[in-house]
Amino acid sequence: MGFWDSDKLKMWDKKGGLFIMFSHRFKILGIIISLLSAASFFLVNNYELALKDIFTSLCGNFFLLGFLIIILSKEKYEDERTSQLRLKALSFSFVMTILNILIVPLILLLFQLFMGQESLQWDGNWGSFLTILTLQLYYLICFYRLKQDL
Amino acid sequence: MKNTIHVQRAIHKMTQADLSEAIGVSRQTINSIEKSRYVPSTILSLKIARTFKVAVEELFELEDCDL
Repeated sequence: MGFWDSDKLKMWDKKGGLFIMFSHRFKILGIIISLLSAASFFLVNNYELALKDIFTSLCGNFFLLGFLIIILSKEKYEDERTSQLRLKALSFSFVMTILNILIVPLILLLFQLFMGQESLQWDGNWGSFLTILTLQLYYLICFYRLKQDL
Repeated sequence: MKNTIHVQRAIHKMTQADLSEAIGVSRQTINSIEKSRYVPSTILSLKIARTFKVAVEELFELEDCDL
């Protein structure tokens, strides 16, 4: 069963149940990747290019990758308190993202019904991007907000 | 849970930064433990107690709301 084998899961739990985390210096790399991909996104959309859709989705993927690197980078002083904050931020962002997924289509439906805004539609391709982005943003905001309160 | 870490720090003339360095956590963690916003793990509690050369029971005390 691979990773889901109970012995392997127990071993992972014994080691702290954490994924491999990068050094805190990787945060800068994550920020640079996100900024570059955001800039590329605007450039790609301002010029007529062949394979524009592929470039646009690549920019989106690299934007998310940058955020993931920021999330998986350690703090300068990583201790048990930061691990607890990570867990809190993860559970908060998980619940909030699910609520977003449930509520956003309803809001868009209400807009269409009462305001007649046909341009507002739940796009399947951007839906997954927005879901992951929401999860990452909620996580980062919650984690750093809690950390500020220390 | 109440704790007397700030008292012990004063006795031993240690700053939060000194204590955090001695037990290998961040100064913010010591601050939140002192303000009872965070309950440390057994390992961390024992490390703090060892630093001050006191028993854990002398550092931490249960309050009525914990019972």
